[in-house]
Amino acid sequence: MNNSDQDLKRILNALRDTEPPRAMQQRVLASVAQREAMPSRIFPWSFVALAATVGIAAILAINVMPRGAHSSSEVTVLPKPSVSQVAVTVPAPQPLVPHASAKAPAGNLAAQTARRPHQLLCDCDPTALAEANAPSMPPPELPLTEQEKLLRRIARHPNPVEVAELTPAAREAKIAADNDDFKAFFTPPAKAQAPE
Amino acid sequence: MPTAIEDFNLALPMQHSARSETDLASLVAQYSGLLFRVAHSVLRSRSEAEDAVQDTFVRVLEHQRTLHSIRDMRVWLVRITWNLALDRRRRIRPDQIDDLFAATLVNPGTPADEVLHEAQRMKTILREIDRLPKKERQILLLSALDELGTTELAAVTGRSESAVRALLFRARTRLRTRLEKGASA
Repeated sequence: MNNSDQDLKRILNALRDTEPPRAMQQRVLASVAQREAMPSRIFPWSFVALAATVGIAAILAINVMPRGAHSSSEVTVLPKPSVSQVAVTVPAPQPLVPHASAKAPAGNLAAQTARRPHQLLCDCDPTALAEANAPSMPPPELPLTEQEKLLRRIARHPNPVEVAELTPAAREAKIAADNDDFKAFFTPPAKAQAPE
Repeated sequence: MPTAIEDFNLALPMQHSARSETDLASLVAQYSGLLFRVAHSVLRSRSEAEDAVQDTFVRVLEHQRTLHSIRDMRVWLVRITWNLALDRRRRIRPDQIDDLFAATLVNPGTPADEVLHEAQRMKTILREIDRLPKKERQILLLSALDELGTTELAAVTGRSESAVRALLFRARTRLRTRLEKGASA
Protein backbone atom coordinates (compact mmCIF):
# COMPACT_ATOMS: atom_id res chain seq x y z
CA MET A 1 0.00 0.00 0.00
CA ASN A 2 1.55 3.25 -1.09
CA ASN A 3 1.24 6.69 0.44
CA SER A 4 -1.79 7.68 -1.59
CA ASP A 5 -3.79 4.71 -0.36
CA GLN A 6 -2.73 5.41 3.18
CA ASP A 7 -3.73 9.05 2.90
CA LEU A 8 -7.06 8.13 1.34
CA LYS A 9 -7.73 5.62 4.09
CA ARG A 10 -6.88 8.21 6.69
CA ILE A 11 -9.29 10.70 5.17
CA LEU A 12 -12.11 8.18 4.92
CA ASN A 13 -11.52 7.04 8.47
CA ALA A 14 -11.58 10.64 9.66
CA LEU A 15 -14.92 11.14 7.94
CA ARG A 16 -16.24 7.94 9.47
CA ASP A 17 -15.08 8.72 12.99
CA THR A 18 -16.40 12.25 13.09
CA GLU A 19 -18.67 12.64 16.08
CA PRO A 20 -21.57 15.06 16.04
CA PRO A 21 -21.22 18.17 18.19
CA ARG A 22 -22.36 18.01 21.75
CA ALA A 23 -26.04 18.81 22.30
CA MET A 24 -26.68 18.81 18.57
CA GLN A 25 -29.89 16.86 19.06
CA GLN A 26 -31.27 19.49 21.42
CA ARG A 27 -30.43 22.26 19.01
CA VAL A 28 -32.01 20.41 16.11
CA LEU A 29 -35.17 19.78 18.07
CA ALA A 30 -35.30 23.36 19.27
CA SER A 31 -34.98 24.70 15.75
CA VAL A 32 -37.64 22.33 14.48
CA ALA A 33 -39.95 23.29 17.36
CA GLN A 34 -39.37 26.94 16.57
CA ARG A 35 -40.18 26.28 12.96
CA GLU A 36 -43.30 24.40 13.95
CA ALA A 37 -44.43 27.30 16.16
CA MET A 38 -44.33 29.67 13.24
CA PRO A 39 -47.72 30.40 11.64
CA SER A 40 -48.57 28.47 8.57
CA ARG A 41 -48.16 29.91 5.11
CA ILE A 42 -51.88 29.98 4.49
CA PHE A 43 -52.62 32.48 7.25
CA PRO A 44 -50.66 35.48 5.90
CA TRP A 45 -52.15 35.16 2.44
CA SER A 46 -55.69 34.92 3.78
CA PHE A 47 -55.04 37.91 6.02
CA VAL A 48 -53.64 39.94 3.13
CA ALA A 49 -56.61 39.06 0.94
CA LEU A 50 -59.05 40.07 3.68
CA ALA A 51 -57.24 43.37 4.26
CA ALA A 52 -57.24 44.14 0.55
CA THR A 53 -60.97 43.44 0.31
CA VAL A 54 -61.73 45.72 3.24
CA GLY A 55 -59.58 48.47 1.76
CA ILE A 56 -61.28 48.32 -1.63
CA ALA A 57 -64.70 48.39 0.03
CA ALA A 58 -63.71 51.45 2.06
CA ILE A 59 -62.50 53.29 -1.05
CA LEU A 60 -65.72 52.52 -2.89
CA ALA A 61 -67.82 53.68 0.05
CA ILE A 62 -65.97 56.99 0.22
CA ASN A 63 -66.44 57.61 -3.51
CA VAL A 64 -70.16 56.76 -3.44
CA MET A 65 -70.90 59.04 -0.46
CA PRO A 66 -72.55 62.40 -1.50
CA ARG A 67 -70.32 65.42 -1.52
CA GLY A 68 -72.46 67.51 0.82
CA ALA A 69 -72.31 64.96 3.57
CA HIS A 70 -68.82 65.87 4.63
CA SER A 71 -68.55 69.49 3.47
CA SER A 72 -69.41 71.00 6.84
CA SER A 73 -66.50 69.32 8.54
CA GLU A 74 -63.90 70.00 5.83
CA VAL A 75 -64.56 73.68 4.86
CA THR A 76 -62.37 76.07 6.74
CA VAL A 77 -64.37 78.89 8.30
CA LEU A 78 -62.52 82.17 8.04
CA PRO A 79 -63.26 84.83 10.63
CA LYS A 80 -65.12 87.90 9.42
CA PRO A 81 -62.53 90.63 8.80
CA SER A 82 -62.84 93.89 10.65
CA VAL A 83 -62.78 97.32 9.02
CA SER A 84 -59.14 97.83 9.80
CA GLN A 85 -58.26 94.53 8.15
CA VAL A 86 -60.18 95.50 5.03
CA ALA A 87 -58.44 98.86 4.91
CA VAL A 88 -55.15 97.07 4.91
CA THR A 89 -56.09 95.02 1.90
CA VAL A 90 -57.12 98.03 -0.20
CA PRO A 91 -54.14 99.26 -2.22
CA ALA A 92 -52.77 102.69 -1.59
CA PRO A 93 -53.65 105.44 -4.15
CA GLN A 94 -51.20 106.08 -6.92
CA PRO A 95 -49.17 109.30 -6.91
CA LEU A 96 -50.59 112.24 -8.83
CA VAL A 97 -47.59 112.59 -11.09
CA PRO A 98 -46.59 109.19 -12.34
CA HIS A 99 -42.96 108.26 -12.66
CA ALA A 100 -41.43 108.44 -16.10
CA SER A 101 -40.76 104.72 -16.07
CA ALA A 102 -44.42 103.89 -15.44
CA LYS A 103 -45.37 102.57 -18.85
CA ALA A 104 -48.30 100.38 -17.83
CA PRO A 105 -51.67 101.60 -18.99
CA ALA A 106 -54.12 102.80 -16.42
CA GLY A 107 -56.68 100.13 -17.28
CA ASN A 108 -54.32 97.24 -16.51
CA LEU A 109 -53.24 98.80 -13.26
CA ALA A 110 -56.83 99.24 -12.16
CA ALA A 111 -57.59 95.67 -13.14
CA GLN A 112 -54.63 94.42 -11.11
CA THR A 113 -55.61 96.38 -8.05
CA ALA A 114 -59.13 95.07 -8.44
CA ARG A 115 -58.09 91.43 -8.73
CA ARG A 116 -55.68 91.19 -5.85
CA PRO A 117 -58.18 91.59 -3.01
CA HIS A 118 -60.47 89.12 -4.70
CA GLN A 119 -57.73 86.55 -4.59
CA LEU A 120 -56.90 87.27 -0.99
CA LEU A 121 -60.41 87.21 0.40
CA CYS A 122 -62.97 84.50 0.33
CA ASP A 123 -66.48 84.77 -1.07
CA CYS A 124 -68.10 84.54 2.31
CA ASP A 125 -67.76 88.29 3.21
CA PRO A 126 -69.57 90.63 0.77
CA THR A 127 -68.66 93.76 2.71
CA ALA A 128 -64.97 93.07 2.41
CA LEU A 129 -65.36 92.25 -1.27
CA ALA A 130 -67.24 95.48 -1.96
CA GLU A 131 -64.59 97.51 -0.20
CA ALA A 132 -61.84 95.72 -2.04
CA ASN A 133 -63.43 96.03 -5.49
CA ALA A 134 -64.34 99.74 -5.13
CA PRO A 135 -62.57 102.08 -7.63
CA SER A 136 -59.53 103.84 -6.43
CA MET A 137 -59.96 107.50 -5.45
CA PRO A 138 -58.56 109.47 -7.24
CA PRO A 139 -58.21 107.35 -10.36
CA PRO A 140 -54.76 106.90 -11.89
CA GLU A 141 -53.75 109.51 -14.40
CA LEU A 142 -53.36 108.97 -18.11
CA PRO A 143 -49.91 109.22 -19.63
CA LEU A 144 -48.78 112.54 -21.15
CA THR A 145 -49.03 113.25 -24.85
CA GLU A 146 -46.02 114.30 -26.90
CA GLN A 147 -47.08 117.98 -26.83
CA GLU A 148 -47.55 117.89 -23.07
CA LYS A 149 -44.13 116.32 -22.66
CA LEU A 150 -42.67 119.14 -24.88
CA LEU A 151 -44.41 121.81 -22.89
CA ARG A 152 -43.07 120.40 -19.67
CA ARG A 153 -39.54 120.37 -21.04
CA ILE A 154 -39.87 123.97 -22.31
CA ALA A 155 -41.26 125.15 -19.02
CA ARG A 156 -38.25 123.76 -17.23
CA HIS A 157 -35.70 125.05 -19.86
CA PRO A 158 -37.13 128.19 -21.60
CA ASN A 159 -35.73 128.83 -25.12
CA PRO A 160 -37.01 131.69 -27.37
CA VAL A 161 -36.39 129.77 -30.54
CA GLU A 162 -38.47 126.93 -29.34
CA VAL A 163 -41.19 129.33 -28.20
CA ALA A 164 -41.27 130.70 -31.73
CA GLU A 165 -41.59 127.19 -33.05
CA LEU A 166 -44.75 126.87 -31.10
CA THR A 167 -46.33 129.96 -32.86
CA PRO A 168 -45.96 129.79 -36.64
CA ALA A 169 -47.12 133.37 -37.19
CA ALA A 170 -44.57 134.84 -34.85
CA ARG A 171 -41.99 132.62 -36.39
CA GLU A 172 -42.80 133.87 -39.90
CA ALA A 173 -42.71 137.45 -38.70
CA LYS A 174 -39.36 136.93 -37.03
CA ILE A 175 -37.92 135.35 -40.17
CA ALA A 176 -39.18 138.26 -42.26
CA ALA A 177 -37.65 140.78 -39.86
CA ASP A 178 -34.32 138.99 -40.00
CA ASN A 179 -34.33 139.10 -43.78
CA ASP A 180 -35.05 142.84 -43.82
CA ASP A 181 -32.19 143.50 -41.47
CA PHE A 182 -29.85 141.45 -43.65
CA LYS A 183 -30.83 143.23 -46.76
CA ALA A 184 -30.62 146.63 -45.13
CA PHE A 185 -27.12 145.92 -43.95
CA PHE A 186 -25.73 144.54 -47.22
CA THR A 187 -27.58 146.81 -49.69
CA PRO A 188 -24.95 149.12 -51.36
CA PRO A 189 -25.49 152.82 -50.76
CA ALA A 190 -26.84 154.97 -53.55
CA LYS A 191 -24.18 156.79 -55.68
CA ALA A 192 -23.76 160.42 -54.72
CA GLN A 193 -23.95 163.19 -57.42
CA ALA A 194 -20.54 164.35 -58.42
CA PRO A 195 -20.06 168.24 -58.04
CA GLU A 196 -19.36 170.17 -61.14
CA MET B 1 -36.04 26.17 27.13
CA PRO B 2 -35.97 22.39 27.23
CA THR B 3 -32.59 20.80 27.61
CA ALA B 4 -33.29 17.10 27.26
CA ILE B 5 -34.76 15.21 24.39
CA GLU B 6 -37.49 13.84 26.60
CA ASP B 7 -38.69 17.37 27.26
CA PHE B 8 -39.70 17.86 23.67
CA ASN B 9 -43.19 16.86 22.75
CA LEU B 10 -43.14 16.99 19.00
CA ALA B 11 -45.16 13.96 18.15
CA LEU B 12 -46.17 14.36 14.55
CA PRO B 13 -49.92 14.51 13.98
CA MET B 14 -50.31 11.22 12.21
CA GLN B 15 -53.96 10.37 12.03
CA HIS B 16 -53.79 7.00 10.38
CA SER B 17 -50.54 5.64 11.68
CA ALA B 18 -49.15 5.75 15.15
CA ARG B 19 -45.75 4.32 14.42
CA SER B 20 -43.04 5.28 16.83
CA GLU B 21 -40.73 6.24 13.97
CA THR B 22 -42.86 9.20 13.21
CA ASP B 23 -42.07 10.69 16.53
CA LEU B 24 -39.69 13.44 15.59
CA ALA B 25 -37.73 13.26 18.80
CA SER B 26 -37.08 9.61 18.30
CA LEU B 27 -36.09 10.26 14.69
CA VAL B 28 -33.58 12.84 15.80
CA ALA B 29 -32.19 10.58 18.49
CA GLN B 30 -31.92 7.65 16.12
CA TYR B 31 -30.59 9.23 12.95
CA SER B 32 -28.96 12.54 13.76
CA GLY B 33 -25.50 11.00 14.21
CA LEU B 34 -25.63 9.19 10.87
CA LEU B 35 -27.03 12.22 9.10
CA PHE B 36 -24.36 14.41 10.59
CA ARG B 37 -21.62 12.16 9.24
CA VAL B 38 -23.30 12.04 5.85
CA ALA B 39 -23.42 15.82 5.70
CA HIS B 40 -19.91 16.13 7.07
CA SER B 41 -18.52 13.84 4.39
CA VAL B 42 -19.71 16.35 1.82
CA LEU B 43 -19.21 19.62 3.67
CA ARG B 44 -16.21 18.77 5.90
CA SER B 45 -17.37 21.40 8.33
CA ARG B 46 -19.04 20.56 11.63
CA SER B 47 -21.16 23.69 11.82
CA GLU B 48 -22.32 23.41 8.24
CA ALA B 49 -23.09 19.73 8.71
CA GLU B 50 -25.19 20.48 11.77
CA ASP B 51 -27.14 23.09 9.82
CA ALA B 52 -27.74 20.53 7.10
CA VAL B 53 -29.10 18.09 9.69
CA GLN B 54 -31.44 20.78 10.99
CA ASP B 55 -32.66 21.45 7.48
CA THR B 56 -33.27 17.74 7.05
CA PHE B 57 -35.57 17.53 10.03
CA VAL B 58 -37.34 20.68 8.95
CA ARG B 59 -38.09 18.84 5.73
CA VAL B 60 -39.41 15.97 7.81
CA LEU B 61 -41.71 18.40 9.55
CA GLU B 62 -42.92 19.77 6.23
CA HIS B 63 -43.65 16.26 4.91
CA GLN B 64 -45.24 14.95 8.06
CA ARG B 65 -48.47 14.15 6.25
CA THR B 66 -46.74 11.85 3.79
CA LEU B 67 -44.36 10.16 6.17
CA HIS B 68 -46.56 7.12 6.45
CA SER B 69 -45.91 6.38 2.79
CA ILE B 70 -42.13 6.24 3.24
CA ARG B 71 -40.96 2.67 3.27
CA ASP B 72 -37.42 3.13 4.52
CA MET B 73 -37.02 6.17 6.73
CA ARG B 74 -33.26 5.72 7.04
CA VAL B 75 -32.66 5.74 3.31
CA TRP B 76 -35.04 8.63 2.81
CA LEU B 77 -33.29 10.75 5.44
CA VAL B 78 -29.84 9.97 4.07
CA ARG B 79 -30.93 10.96 0.60
CA ILE B 80 -32.40 14.24 1.82
CA THR B 81 -29.32 15.05 3.85
CA TRP B 82 -27.01 14.30 0.95
CA ASN B 83 -28.90 16.58 -1.40
CA LEU B 84 -29.13 19.37 1.16
CA ALA B 85 -25.42 19.09 1.85
CA LEU B 86 -24.64 19.34 -1.86
CA ASP B 87 -26.79 22.45 -2.13
CA ARG B 88 -25.11 23.98 0.87
CA ARG B 89 -21.63 23.19 -0.46
CA ARG B 90 -22.39 25.16 -3.60
CA ARG B 91 -23.13 28.23 -1.49
CA ILE B 92 -20.07 28.13 0.77
CA ARG B 93 -16.38 28.42 -0.13
CA PRO B 94 -15.08 24.85 -0.04
CA ASP B 95 -11.40 25.76 -0.37
CA GLN B 96 -11.18 27.47 2.99
CA ILE B 97 -13.13 24.68 4.68
CA ASP B 98 -10.91 22.03 3.11
CA ASP B 99 -7.86 23.88 4.41
CA LEU B 100 -9.15 23.61 7.95
CA PHE B 101 -10.18 19.99 7.56
CA ALA B 102 -6.86 19.03 5.97
CA ALA B 103 -5.02 20.63 8.87
CA THR B 104 -6.88 18.36 11.29
CA LEU B 105 -5.79 15.28 9.36
CA VAL B 106 -2.09 15.86 9.89
CA ASN B 107 -0.54 13.52 12.42
CA PRO B 108 0.21 15.23 15.71
CA GLY B 109 3.79 13.96 15.75
CA THR B 110 4.67 15.32 12.34
CA PRO B 111 7.68 17.65 12.30
CA ALA B 112 6.85 21.28 11.76
CA ASP B 113 8.57 21.42 8.37
CA GLU B 114 6.41 18.58 7.05
CA VAL B 115 3.07 19.73 8.40
CA LEU B 116 2.41 22.09 5.54
CA HIS B 117 3.45 19.53 2.96
CA GLU B 118 1.23 16.84 4.47
CA ALA B 119 -1.74 19.18 4.73
CA GLN B 120 -1.29 20.06 1.10
CA ARG B 121 -1.22 16.38 0.20
CA MET B 122 -4.46 15.79 2.10
CA LYS B 123 -6.06 18.71 0.37
CA THR B 124 -5.04 17.30 -2.98
CA ILE B 125 -6.77 14.03 -2.17
CA LEU B 126 -9.91 15.85 -1.08
CA ARG B 127 -9.89 17.78 -4.33
CA GLU B 128 -9.54 14.57 -6.31
CA ILE B 129 -12.48 13.08 -4.42
CA ASP B 130 -14.56 16.05 -5.42
CA ARG B 131 -13.53 15.58 -9.04
CA LEU B 132 -14.88 12.04 -9.14
CA PRO B 133 -18.10 11.39 -11.04
CA LYS B 134 -21.18 12.14 -8.99
CA LYS B 135 -22.30 8.58 -8.31
CA GLU B 136 -18.80 7.27 -7.67
CA ARG B 137 -18.14 9.99 -5.16
CA GLN B 138 -21.43 9.35 -3.42
CA ILE B 139 -20.79 5.61 -3.17
CA LEU B 140 -17.21 6.14 -1.99
CA LEU B 141 -18.12 8.57 0.78
CA LEU B 142 -21.25 6.79 1.98
CA SER B 143 -19.58 3.40 2.05
CA ALA B 144 -16.72 4.87 4.05
CA LEU B 145 -19.14 5.60 6.89
CA ASP B 146 -19.56 1.85 7.50
CA GLU B 147 -23.15 2.39 8.53
CA LEU B 148 -24.92 1.68 5.29
CA GLY B 149 -24.94 -1.72 3.69
CA THR B 150 -24.85 -2.42 0.01
CA THR B 151 -28.62 -2.74 -0.10
CA GLU B 152 -29.12 0.63 1.52
CA LEU B 153 -26.49 2.22 -0.70
CA ALA B 154 -28.36 0.85 -3.68
CA ALA B 155 -31.59 2.31 -2.37
CA VAL B 156 -29.99 5.70 -1.70
CA THR B 157 -28.34 5.95 -5.10
CA GLY B 158 -31.12 4.28 -7.06
CA ARG B 159 -28.79 1.65 -8.49
CA SER B 160 -28.58 -2.10 -8.12
CA GLU B 161 -26.29 -3.71 -5.58
CA SER B 162 -23.92 -4.96 -8.24
CA ALA B 163 -23.80 -1.50 -9.73
CA VAL B 164 -22.94 -0.13 -6.32
CA ARG B 165 -20.04 -2.54 -5.96
CA ALA B 166 -18.84 -1.68 -9.44
CA LEU B 167 -19.07 2.02 -8.77
CA LEU B 168 -17.10 1.65 -5.57
CA PHE B 169 -14.37 -0.29 -7.33
CA ARG B 170 -14.19 2.22 -10.14
CA ALA B 171 -14.06 5.12 -7.73
CA ARG B 172 -11.11 3.71 -5.85
CA THR B 173 -9.27 2.78 -9.05
CA ARG B 174 -9.84 6.16 -10.64
CA LEU B 175 -8.77 7.97 -7.52
CA ARG B 176 -5.62 5.92 -7.13
CA THR B 177 -4.69 6.45 -10.76
CA ARG B 178 -5.15 10.19 -10.55
CA LEU B 179 -3.20 10.49 -7.35
CA GLU B 180 -0.29 8.47 -8.73
CA LYS B 181 -0.32 10.52 -11.89
CA GLY B 182 -0.34 13.71 -9.85
CA ALA B 183 2.48 12.46 -7.64
CA SER B 184 4.67 11.52 -10.61
CA ALA B 185 4.02 14.80 -12.43
